[in-house]
Amino acid sequence: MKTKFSGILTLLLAFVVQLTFAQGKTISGTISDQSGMPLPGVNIIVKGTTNGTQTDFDGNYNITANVGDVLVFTYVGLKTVEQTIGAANTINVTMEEDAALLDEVVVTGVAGATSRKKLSVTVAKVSTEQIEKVPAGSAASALQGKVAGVSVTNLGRPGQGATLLLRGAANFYGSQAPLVLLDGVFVEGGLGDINVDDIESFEIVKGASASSLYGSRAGNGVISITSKRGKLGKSEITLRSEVGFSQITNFVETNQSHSYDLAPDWEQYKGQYTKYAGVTYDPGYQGVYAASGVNAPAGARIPSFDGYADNPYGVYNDFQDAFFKTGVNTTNYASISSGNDKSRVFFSSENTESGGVLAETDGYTRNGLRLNADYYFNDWIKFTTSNSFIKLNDNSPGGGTDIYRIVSRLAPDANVMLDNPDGQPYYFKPDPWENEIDNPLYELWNRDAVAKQQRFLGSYNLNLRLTDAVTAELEYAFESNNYRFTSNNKYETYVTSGNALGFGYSQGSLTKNSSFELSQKAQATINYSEVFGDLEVKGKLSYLIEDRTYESISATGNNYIFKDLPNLDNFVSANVTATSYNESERAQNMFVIGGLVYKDRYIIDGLFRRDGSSLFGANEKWNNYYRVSGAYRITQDIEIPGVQELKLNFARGTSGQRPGFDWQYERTALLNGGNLSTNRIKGNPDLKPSLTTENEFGLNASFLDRFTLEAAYSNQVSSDQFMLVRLFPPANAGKNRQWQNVGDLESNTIEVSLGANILDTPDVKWNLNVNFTTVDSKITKLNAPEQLVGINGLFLLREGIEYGSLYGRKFVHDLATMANQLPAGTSISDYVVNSDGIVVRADAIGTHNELAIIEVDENGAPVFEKIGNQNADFNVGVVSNFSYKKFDFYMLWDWKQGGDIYNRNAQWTTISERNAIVDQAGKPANEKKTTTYYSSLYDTNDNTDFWVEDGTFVKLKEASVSYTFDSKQIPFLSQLKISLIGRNLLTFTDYLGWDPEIANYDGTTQQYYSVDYGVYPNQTSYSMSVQIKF
Amino acid sequence: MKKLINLFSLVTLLAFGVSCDDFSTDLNVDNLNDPNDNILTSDVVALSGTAQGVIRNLFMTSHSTSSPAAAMATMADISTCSWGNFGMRDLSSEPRVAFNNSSSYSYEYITSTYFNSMYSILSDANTLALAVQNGAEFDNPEEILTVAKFSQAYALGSLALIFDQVWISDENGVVDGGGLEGSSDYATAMTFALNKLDEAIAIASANGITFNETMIPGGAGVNAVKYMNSMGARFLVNNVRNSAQKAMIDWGRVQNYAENGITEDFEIYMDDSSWYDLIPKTYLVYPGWGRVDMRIINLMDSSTPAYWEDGVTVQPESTSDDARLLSDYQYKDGQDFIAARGQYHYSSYRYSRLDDYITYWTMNVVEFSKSENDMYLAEALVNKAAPDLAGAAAVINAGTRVTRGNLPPVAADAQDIKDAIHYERMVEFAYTAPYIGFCEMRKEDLLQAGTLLHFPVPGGSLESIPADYYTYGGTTGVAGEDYSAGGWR
Repeated sequence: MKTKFSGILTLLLAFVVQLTFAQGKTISGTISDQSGMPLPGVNIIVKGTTNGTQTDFDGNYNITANVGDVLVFTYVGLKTVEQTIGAANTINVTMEEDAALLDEVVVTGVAGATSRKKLSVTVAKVSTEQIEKVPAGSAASALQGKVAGVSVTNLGRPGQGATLLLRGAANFYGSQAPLVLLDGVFVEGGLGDINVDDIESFEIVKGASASSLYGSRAGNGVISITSKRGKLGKSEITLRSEVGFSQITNFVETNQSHSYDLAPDWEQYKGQYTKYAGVTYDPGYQGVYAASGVNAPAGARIPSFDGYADNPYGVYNDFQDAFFKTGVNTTNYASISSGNDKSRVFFSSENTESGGVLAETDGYTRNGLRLNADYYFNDWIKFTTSNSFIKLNDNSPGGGTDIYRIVSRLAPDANVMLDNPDGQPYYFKPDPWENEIDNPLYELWNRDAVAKQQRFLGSYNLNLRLTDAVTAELEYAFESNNYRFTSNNKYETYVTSGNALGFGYSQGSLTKNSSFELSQKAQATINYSEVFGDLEVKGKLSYLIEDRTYESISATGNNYIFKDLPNLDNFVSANVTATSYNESERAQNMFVIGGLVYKDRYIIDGLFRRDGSSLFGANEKWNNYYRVSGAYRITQDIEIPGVQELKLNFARGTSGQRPGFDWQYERTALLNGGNLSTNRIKGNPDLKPSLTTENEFGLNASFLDRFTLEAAYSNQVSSDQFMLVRLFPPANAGKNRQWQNVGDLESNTIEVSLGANILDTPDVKWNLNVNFTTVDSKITKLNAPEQLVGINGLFLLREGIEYGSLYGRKFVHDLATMANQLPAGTSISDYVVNSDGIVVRADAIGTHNELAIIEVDENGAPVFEKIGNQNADFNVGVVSNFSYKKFDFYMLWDWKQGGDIYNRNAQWTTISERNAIVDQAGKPANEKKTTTYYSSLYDTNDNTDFWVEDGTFVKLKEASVSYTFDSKQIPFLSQLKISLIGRNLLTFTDYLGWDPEIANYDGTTQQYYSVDYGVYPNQTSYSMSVQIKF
Repeated sequence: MKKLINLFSLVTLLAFGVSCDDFSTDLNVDNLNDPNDNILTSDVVALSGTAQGVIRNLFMTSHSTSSPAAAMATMADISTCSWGNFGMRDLSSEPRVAFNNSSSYSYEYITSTYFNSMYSILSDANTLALAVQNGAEFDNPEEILTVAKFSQAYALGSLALIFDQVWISDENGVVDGGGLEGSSDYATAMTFALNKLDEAIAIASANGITFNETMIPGGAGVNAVKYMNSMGARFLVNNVRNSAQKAMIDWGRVQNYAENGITEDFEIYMDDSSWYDLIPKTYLVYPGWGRVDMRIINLMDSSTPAYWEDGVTVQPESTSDDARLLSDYQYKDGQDFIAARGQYHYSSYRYSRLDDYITYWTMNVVEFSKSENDMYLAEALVNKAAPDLAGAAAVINAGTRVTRGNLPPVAADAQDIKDAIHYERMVEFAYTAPYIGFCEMRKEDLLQAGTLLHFPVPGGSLESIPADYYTYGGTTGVAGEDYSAGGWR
């Protein structure tokens, strides 16, 4: 039976409005902040009594008191104000921000707005001041390096944003991404499209205990984003324009030599092609590949006797220079903020264009509009709305994931710029001796694929102040996401074929994908907040329902009938296929949370939540979550010299992750034409959400009047892990897998943030914040056979090992190991460790017989052992804000220590001897090695330890220099700020690929892995920003 | 009162934006993307739908890159390819080594996917047969039953050809073979499969059943009975692991199958969407991928070496009395493969007969050639208790050896006939269906020493039972029964 939304409204309408009555001499007034914004909810108490009140929505108050009494005005995040009552009956107060970090106010995951001083859980906050120094391309990237316990890995492709991991991994299968709320909207479509100029603040709820309030959606933590809103007073207009460019600044080195005999007269052909011995060339030869004709020379190259790749080419090209372009980026932003006592409005528009760095490829364009409108009808009704519309154009590069490997696999003499026989640019098979290689520039040029997307995120909140202590809220929020993707391969698109040239027209294809997603939530909440003398009480009772629907349709036609007519009608009907897909998810959740603060120092908090979800198996429809937490502000009781604030807290709580939409169901997929898939999944009505239980110990301190310290230790155990477990088909009606809850993943996190207000003079200010995070994640239980997952099956799920471990084959690296696997008739003295640290035959150094030896077990089978770990040992972020008068210098350094990368690009390019390690030119004769040796290192592209590299890096992630003119300098403006901005300016790393920030998405596990293959590299960018306020 | 009116107005405003039709909290949600088991086992419409696609699933499973087909072609030295894909290099490396049956092996999917897929098809076939047995109201129950029995036979037969043990089941339930978790040996499984095939043939013959265009596109489905008979011959001949087991083949039954088999090439239309042939017709012939093993070229031109020795960069173009060297094979002086991976993978020829397919992709292709059926007939005639050498020679001489190869007729000599049969299997139709070339080499003890003769149950499946790891190949297993004790070299 459906539970209708209207039922909840009816329920809330039944609340009784309570009235309070004042007595005696009445003092009244308005409380506002420094910007003139009225402050609702300010506590006002007659000092030394229990007589108190709060301001209404418009910041107004009335209180009865006597002349000579002292009124104490308190508000979280603002400095407490005391005023003695005199003759006047009106006292207006302007409250100032309390600059200390610990006085920030947090609203996410707690019973009510709470000063960080009084938090019993760890919630970080990043405000607009911290993100506007170097505005990130999207909200996804804005947190990098700024918050301890938050790992951010940027995705290089324009518009893709970044991956976010809060503390440790919590899932074998399923996204590690936190739940994101934007003004109360559950953001389903990712943060990559959310512009940062609109953002007022982030609140980051890192651990499961802090995020318990969000139950079965919050096992990965929660990020709550608040957008800017209209402010009372004079209208303010902000314009910002940023223009810059991006480029790849670190090209991968490749082998510039080959291992074939040159023709005696090869030098006569330098500049045209590489002329080899044993090959007969047609006079018209153009240095490309063809199956026949002038570009198909007769004969074959003769491998040089010594096997060394140390011979020169006749032509040298730098393909990376042609493949990567300088991309132009622009952002234009405008906003207007205004407000009066009845309404406040914030409107903004934004345009971002990011060209990307791939040649012949357009990038990403975003247009956004925001309207946040708030209405204050009277002293007890407030209605707020947030509306964000985003429109995107996202061009997807051609060539697929292979294109990055191909560009570094091309031989230097490949002729990529030659036109094709029909006049199309970029000859399709440009490498004279590699018929597998398609021209990456052709693939980029020929690509005509763009995604168009429109997102709307809206939230609507009705707030009723029922009494001074009780408010009721009704909220409806939704995100809709319309997506259209079109990929057109024109008739003349080349593909490898069996015709004379070796390639010919594909006759083209057209694919159109369309999807629509609507995610809605409705929530009714009763809030309670009251002060009883020394006791502050806050509570919340809430009921939340969710409904998400997703549907998609895709159609593809192959072999155009007419050229240049990209329409699905332009195909023989038998060559058109279509598919569709639907998802529907619903949830009912209810929770109660309460918090007590006694004498400003003893803090306890507790919550209970019960979630029902359609994603849970039929036998596990409802699951419970809880939290208990406490904190003690020691310095309220004990004076410690030099320490202004010291708080300890402990929290224990649970949250979880929901299964994917179809994980509980029997799945025998329908294939094209109604055929049944033979890859089948057995249903599981007992599938339940994973459960993360966290114990957190925290410390907050401010000392020596200039330092703040926050530290936390978190132990979280995520049990009932999801895993797609293998079944034995003959015993399961042909089904070979099933989603099951199988094990525990335990993560321990230590995070420390140290802030220092180093200099604070009227002219010179310098703030430094350093944050440190270390996480270890271990699989402590696995009730299923171990399993390889992730990109290329490199990552093992096995009980007792660290999550994120890479497993594979190993070469023999030491003689002791070799001694255990000596071939018959050999002794250990026959072997040595070569210059690459690999055991080889001693008598084979430098010869074709020098081969890497795979380590084997007692049965002679290759070992299967740990070869790496993608998790960082630790991360450090250093943020420096230095200002001199109106100059501002900002830097963000990001240090990732450890975290291995599997460099698949490097391994794969070794197949064709293109890896730079194969280049023997210029090496002393006794150090040269043969192509046979390097081929043994390639190891048929198997997962092998040799290709694991240390991903440590130190990056100057963000830097800016800005100067701000004020209204005294430019009278008609309130502010003009000019900034020079750089991103990824410096990278210090030993990693051999383009960039060590590697996040490669695997659709099966829905997670990112550090495997460098098909990854759009991160870039360095430079820009100038001008911001005007008036 | 005004406050309440304001409040009511706002709540109403909020509610207008929310449609109850679009906002439900019912936690019971159906999956509308996949038919569930209840539908698939009880609904006549769904069962009919299953029947329409089950033969397609058998074809796609057999011709998939996620099958051992590509590796077996290189193991048999019919094709050569040093690319690691599909286990081709590992399983054709010299000397041959044991198959890595670990679930962590990079190419474990070549057996596990095939294994999983075939058992899912067997389950479908059993479900269909049971539905007919239980009186489900099909429009044409005989057609459904024919498809069901044929698919049971095809799935079980295909598993028996590849694996050392098979878990047999049919519409009456599981057949306990006494082995691991009730498994049966490959010979028992094939016997069971052929009995199912005979039932299918009998039902189809009695009721005039053919395979419609949905079941097998391309027009050949009208010859369903002939095709099933030919499949019987294929299964019966190819299931043996060594030449000694040839004596156990019921050659009379082979003859009967072949005589009632196809009389023209059995072709299937590839639509490049639901139906496509990845192995052997794509990756064993596509430029840059598989080439023809030199052993095959040597069969056509004895002056061309059967094995590419190290140090040779170019083999001269071969010549042959067989016209097919020019019509079906393309000379290549250069190599696509890496010398360091073993020059024995080199070849001077690729198979070009399928170039139209790998250019246009949508066309009829031969799945079962008449020549293949002819060779089963000829082999039966020469091997049966009272050999009919003249008859066998006549069959061969009426076929592709002469009509396409322009080779002289074979004499009515037993060895010459056997040689000619082997020759046709290597030269004429090694790229129609998967496995048949490997099975021929296995039957004749020609696989290189150490080549595994059948695959173990996939390691991942063993883990899921759970059962102990085992494998074959190299020197692991029983020589001559699990791995080749010695072959053509």
